[in-house]
Amino acid sequence: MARRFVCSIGIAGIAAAALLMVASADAQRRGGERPKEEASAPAAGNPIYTPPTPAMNISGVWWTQSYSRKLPVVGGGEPPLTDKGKAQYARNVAGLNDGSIVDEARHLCVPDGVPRILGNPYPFQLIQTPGQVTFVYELNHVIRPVVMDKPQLSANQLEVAPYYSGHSVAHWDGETLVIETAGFNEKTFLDASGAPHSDAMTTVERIRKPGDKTLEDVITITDGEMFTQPFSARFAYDLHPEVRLEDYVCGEKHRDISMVKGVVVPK
Amino acid sequence: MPQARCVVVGALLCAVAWPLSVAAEEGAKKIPDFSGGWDRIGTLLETYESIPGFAGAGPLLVDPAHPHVNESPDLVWVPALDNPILTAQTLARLKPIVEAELKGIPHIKNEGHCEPSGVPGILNVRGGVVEFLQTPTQVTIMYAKDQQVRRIYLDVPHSPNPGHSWYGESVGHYEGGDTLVVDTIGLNDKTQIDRFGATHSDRIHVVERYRVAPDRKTLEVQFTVDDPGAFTTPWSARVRLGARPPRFDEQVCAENNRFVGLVFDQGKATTSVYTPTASKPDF
Repeated sequence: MARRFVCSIGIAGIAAAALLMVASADAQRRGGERPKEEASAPAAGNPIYTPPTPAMNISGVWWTQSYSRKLPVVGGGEPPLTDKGKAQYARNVAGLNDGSIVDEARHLCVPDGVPRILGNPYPFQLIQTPGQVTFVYELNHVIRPVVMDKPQLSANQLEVAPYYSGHSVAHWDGETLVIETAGFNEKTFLDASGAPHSDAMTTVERIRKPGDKTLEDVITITDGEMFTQPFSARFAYDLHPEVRLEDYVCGEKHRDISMVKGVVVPK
Repeated sequence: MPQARCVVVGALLCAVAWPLSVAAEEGAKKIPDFSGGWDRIGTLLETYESIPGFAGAGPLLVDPAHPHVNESPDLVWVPALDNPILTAQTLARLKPIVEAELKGIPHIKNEGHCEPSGVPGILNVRGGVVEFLQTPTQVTIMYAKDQQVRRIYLDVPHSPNPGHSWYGESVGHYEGGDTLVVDTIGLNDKTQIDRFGATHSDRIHVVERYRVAPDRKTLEVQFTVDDPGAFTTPWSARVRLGARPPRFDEQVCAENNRFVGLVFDQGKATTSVYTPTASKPDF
């Protein structure tokens, strides 16, 4: 899809890219004025979040129990692709195989996007603070802020700024954290095999602790362009309080992940 | 009688001092609130400032003969090279960068390569919100600019062998109800220490003091750099941040890292800027 995106850039796109290039170089040089926007300074409060129950304490370093190149669809089987979805998936698989499509998340280290990043074999940290839950991933140093108990951005805002990780809001349903995400870009795959999605995709994640030291994220994906109906995938994690996240710079040697079930480290 | 007065005065002092000491203790225990968004403020948003009233060694500052003017076409970053903190080696490394700048060829910062900015260089990052996530055992500082992250572990000692990494190992504690003190070691020597391109060694030790103003409109970071491998003496500086809406944009450097024209990089003028890539994926 990344390839398709690049190919679809027309004259206007090239002009915009040129402007971005100028802006990028320019931004390097200038110590220009900061944006005029200022926050109304909030009153000092307690910056520490106290979970109401142990089950609602999902903070900590978590590590997937297993890795799979393919999305772990609940109940097994394949995602329910539309004809368009099947054709796109076939193009992605062929392109990844013959090298005409670059898996940018692995080679350029751009974010994997949701849901692909949910199954990545590196540890990540969940941090609960008042009004926010933040996913901090070691892989590609991706940060995914999730705003608590606020409405989702408007359709216009979501369209103007599509993100790899989308825009997420959440609330508690009992002791289950429900995260609703929209506003994705279409530069990512759903998994390493190249399963497609469109920028119309929305997701709902239900995150809970089946045990003191385990976490589950069941994500339901809705994308009428690529799938005939919503479907779900499940990810499970173990708590690793002994692990500290490390720096991650593309192409450098990173921590050993060969012990993660399902991981095949390329030779 | 004098003895009785003394007892009375002593009792009064005790009566006054007791609640004061309790209040001071409670203030010291209070966790300062760094929540919300922050961004650099000041005249030059990518350089350090001298600490007002501080008589000790200070940071490299812009050469008055070659001022950096915001929003001007003349955007050179040239430091005054007579600062006594510079060792001969650090000065020698800095000179080619300065010469290129004077020719109008800008040098590239670490974040221009999509690399981590390191410490203290991260304090100079501009163009995105900074957020602090506070938990009882950790402070996480997140920078929207290329989603950089620092982790500060509270009330624990440094590891016996922290190794060397881009952000090093940071431990910290709160002081006085308004300050976070961060002690960082274990940094690699791959990052620039400031906007001028000065280098540092992997022996660098940085202590930062983040102090939030009572009205929470500003946050000041005073810090001291001790690096016998790069500077003749420890030196101290500050940066200031102002409160911003906590809107954390997704800024991905690797997505669009291109430059126009000549830049000074790795000791030469070039139009090709290195960006980290993985020829072989990790998994």
